[in-house]
Amino acid sequence: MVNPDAQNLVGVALTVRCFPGDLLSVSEAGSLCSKVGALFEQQGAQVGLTLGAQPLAEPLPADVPTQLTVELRARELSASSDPLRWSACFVSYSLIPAVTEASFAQEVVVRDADGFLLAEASLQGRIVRYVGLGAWVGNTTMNYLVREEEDRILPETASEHLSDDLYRQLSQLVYNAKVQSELLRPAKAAR
Amino acid sequence: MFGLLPLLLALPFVMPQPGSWRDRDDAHNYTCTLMTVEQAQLARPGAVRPVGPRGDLYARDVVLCQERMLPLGLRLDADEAILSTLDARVKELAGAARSRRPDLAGATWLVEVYYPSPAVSAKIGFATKNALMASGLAVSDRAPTLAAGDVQVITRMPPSEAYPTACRRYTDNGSLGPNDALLAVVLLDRQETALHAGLCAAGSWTWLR
Repeated sequence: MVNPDAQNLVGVALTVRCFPGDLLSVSEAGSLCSKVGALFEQQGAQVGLTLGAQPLAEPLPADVPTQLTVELRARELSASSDPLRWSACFVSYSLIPAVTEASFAQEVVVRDADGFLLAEASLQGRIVRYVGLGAWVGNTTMNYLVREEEDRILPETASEHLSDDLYRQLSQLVYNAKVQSELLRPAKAAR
Repeated sequence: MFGLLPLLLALPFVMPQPGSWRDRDDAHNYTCTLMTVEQAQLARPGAVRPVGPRGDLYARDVVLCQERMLPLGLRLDADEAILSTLDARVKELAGAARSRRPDLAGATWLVEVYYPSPAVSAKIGFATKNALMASGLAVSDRAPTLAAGDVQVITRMPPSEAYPTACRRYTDNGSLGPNDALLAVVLLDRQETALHAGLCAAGSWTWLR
């Protein structure tokens, strides 16, 4: 397994394309792109960022042996907010928590310089949010009396875990694509 | 409202995500799939209330969770990544082999696996043979062999040369006959979680993926 903190992508020129859509606005897509770009730069790649199908503002050097493009698209799979639980929350002065749930998918595609598909994955996540005084008191009590420090659930916990998971899986996928690209290069050159 | 209480109180125990009653490690031992009510009824008949004849009061989805057969941590992470999706991987490899060389549909197929762990190699080999048989190909348990001298030379070569050379030697020494095809499943790099496959037939080697 790849360590996202290691120099896994030395000798790779990587274009990261983020596509705004129904889940990500243009600015959110831009923010995602720069975070993912920084992740791959830390791993030794030369990175260019762009939104959608726009060309890179500054082309990457052509003499780098492995040229990859990572395309990121996000979409919402489902979102629900149970009206019965909201009613119960309201009637009980929020002692009974209301629950909202959202599932989403991050589609990742990695191609080589010729557009050949090297790797793809649909990384799915689900966020369940409990709302109300009862949930807050219960959670805070559990955090400080029962849970270990690394298991505590704080407001930013879900997004931190999701980011860590996404970065690890992206690093692994791009590394797999790099090996695949290097394997197929001699065959492509021979054609 | 009090009729809802048992449901509300039981909910934290049945929900798969980390929370008051389930820590992160425990939650990771569930694989969950989001599906429609209709799909859930097919997957778990009787477990999900069907959509009423006049529809539901509000839209419902189902998250179907299953506890892993083997808890995480029993196997190496790299092995787990390969084995947890092995069925889909080997089906893809068998499909690629079949579509790349339709002329080998009548051949006898042999499978070799190059993976660091012998136990995992055996599982990959077994699954690959099953996938080839499921696609209608004739599969043999026979393993092609190389002379000790060949092994010494080939193991010093880079992968790009080693596999084509081994393929030629298999054919030259008669391990692979004219009606045999060898599907080799290879892990090229200890850090990757993808399996590669190459096809050896009539002394000629082709990387499939």
